[in-house]
Amino acid sequence: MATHERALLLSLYERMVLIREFEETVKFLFLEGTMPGTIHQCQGQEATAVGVCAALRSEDWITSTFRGHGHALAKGLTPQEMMDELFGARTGCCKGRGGSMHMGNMSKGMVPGIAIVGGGIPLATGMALAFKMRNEPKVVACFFGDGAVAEGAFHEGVNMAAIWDLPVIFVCENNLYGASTRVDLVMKNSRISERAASYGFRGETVDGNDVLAVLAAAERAAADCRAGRGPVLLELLTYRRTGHSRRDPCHYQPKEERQAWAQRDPIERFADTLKLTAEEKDDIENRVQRVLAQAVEHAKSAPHPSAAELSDYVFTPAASNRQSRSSAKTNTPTGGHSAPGSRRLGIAEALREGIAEEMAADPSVFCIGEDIGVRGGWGGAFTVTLGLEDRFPERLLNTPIAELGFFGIATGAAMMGMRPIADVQYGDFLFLASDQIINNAAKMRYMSGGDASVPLVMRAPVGATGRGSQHAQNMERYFTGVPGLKVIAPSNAYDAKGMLKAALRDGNPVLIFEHKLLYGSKGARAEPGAVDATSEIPNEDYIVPLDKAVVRREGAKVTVLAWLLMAHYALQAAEGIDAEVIDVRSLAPLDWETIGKSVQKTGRAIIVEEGPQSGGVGAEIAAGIAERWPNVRVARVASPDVPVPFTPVLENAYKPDVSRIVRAAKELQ
Amino acid sequence: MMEIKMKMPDLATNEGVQLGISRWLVQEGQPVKRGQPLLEVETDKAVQEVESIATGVLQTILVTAGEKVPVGTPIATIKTS
Repeated sequence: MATHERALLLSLYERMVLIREFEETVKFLFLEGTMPGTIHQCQGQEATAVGVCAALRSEDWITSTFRGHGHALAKGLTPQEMMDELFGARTGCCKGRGGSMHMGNMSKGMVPGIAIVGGGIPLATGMALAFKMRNEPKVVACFFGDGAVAEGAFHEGVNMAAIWDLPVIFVCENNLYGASTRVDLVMKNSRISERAASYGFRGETVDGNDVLAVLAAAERAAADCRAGRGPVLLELLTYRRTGHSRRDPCHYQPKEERQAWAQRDPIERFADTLKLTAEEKDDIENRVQRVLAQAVEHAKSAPHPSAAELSDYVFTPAASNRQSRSSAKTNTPTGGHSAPGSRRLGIAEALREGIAEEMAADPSVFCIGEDIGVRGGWGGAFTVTLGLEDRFPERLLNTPIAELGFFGIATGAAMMGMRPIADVQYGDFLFLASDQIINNAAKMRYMSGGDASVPLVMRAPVGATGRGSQHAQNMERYFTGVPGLKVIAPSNAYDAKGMLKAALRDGNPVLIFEHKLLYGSKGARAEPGAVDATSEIPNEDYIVPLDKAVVRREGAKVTVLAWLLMAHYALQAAEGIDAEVIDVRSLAPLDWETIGKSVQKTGRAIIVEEGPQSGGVGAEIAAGIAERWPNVRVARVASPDVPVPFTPVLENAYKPDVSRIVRAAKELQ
Repeated sequence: MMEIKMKMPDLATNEGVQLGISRWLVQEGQPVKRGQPLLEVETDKAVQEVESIATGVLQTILVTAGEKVPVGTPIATIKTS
């Protein structure tokens, strides 16, 4: 204590009182029915937030949870911007899009609160990765509860922070209960800090109701992180004096336990330590109450967003992207771009070239995934990144087998201004990563009220190729209906390179589906049944827009809409049926202009999709055509509703083929 | 000096449920502190204490024990100093 000025100590005390009184004020506003939504409060845990954040600098960052009011106030968000947010006002820190569970402010070093338990752990790790890659001496404090330790996200995120020595302070607020379930019911070893040793870094259990003990531990941890000795796990023992959420009367907390912890109240204890007089306490209390009363009064009359603004902030607008990206281009011009002419390349080679060019032009672009840059390895499952590790040894990050973890890491790094390319070896593994993709990457911009951007590119191979049910699914359908995500599916090398580059410059999360039979991979990675998808690739820089379909063949009698492998089959079928073939290419958003022009001309549309017919992308296209142009007759050619089989005879029956497309066209005549 | 109307808090776990007051823990005319248990409310799940939303004197009890009212109904007035 001697090492800290009394003014600092008083400010810690006042900050804790502010958190306690903010929470009490909010609680009564809810009880009155004045405030919408729900709340998760932190009365009793004030010392953890205040102690940790006091050890941080203003340029450091925190991630928080659904119980984030205390963290936000400790990191410097104002009671006013938070109260406005709770009332759903446009003047709130997330413009009313976030609310209690997603409190944050990018300009103050706090990403929107992550309300999926454990979801912030990979994200914080990725933020720290960005700082390490850029040599910035910043630290991320990642708050989570004891319940999060049971999540896979904890294991995956913490492990990668450990192997890369990242500057993250993992702050576990152990308040003894995950919702209503006691911690010792869900873990055999409930000494959470001991987990750090199994990952190879330092962990520490601290009295989380002693703000000075927390501050000292957090200062040690921050110093370790800044010296490259991170991460550190702090287990802060504390107690929630209020319900898990607003209607929880806490009947599962034994009375004696509540009373024992009430004796260790962090605010009262610190008042005793500081030997505050009654007068000093009253002064602080009154000052805080005045601030809060004013915040409530203003928030009650703060303006709300209009319904017309509902769709704002889903995507980062294009204009700002080009600007930010073009400066990166001019800084580091790449050689060979101005040379005229072209070469014939397959998709794998074209993607590799596109990635290399963008990495050369922009130091924020990096690749992250499994087996992507191992010397003597394969350059990912389908050779796309083969050899890039020699050119960019620091920017090809080989991860553990941990899709949830490294997609979260990529998301966090993207939010801190990096441009990661994350890929899965098989699209089917996206299910493992989907929490980070759908709940974090796709929603962060919206939840932050347009403050955050997630310039993240994701790549995933799809298609049935003799590998049975779990390395074969066409995953497009699961992601095309996710607001905040762009989804593309290039079917040739020219599009693959051009769309990849456009995706990297877009500034939003873009998921690229690639087909295993179209890569043109060579050697041991060559695929039986592959289709030639090579293109002439110009020597100069080019992009292909992310939101445009393309007419591959003109025809008069029927429009066939397809993508990836099916676009090739559609072209093979087209001759005899006088079909116009559209390579849909952009699956989200769909290019209704190109589709509309064609189907209005032919009056008939066949959508060809590899994957089960029910709930497919084809269903969305069919519905869209029916709504816009009701005179057009629509049919679908898709797989039956069965898992992808292994044996070739069944796999062939599963996949739509040329004869089925021709038959469908004739039936539609 | 201000008179604050305290309303039945939104404790119901199901929409539209009426909440019954089991008993008042403070009598009219007695002083109360914010956060002090003021009454017991019976929800569809359990009996729950409800805290006073202000410091002052419990002036009038508007809904007596045994009655059921919808969320948001004024149940008492508190005079603050």
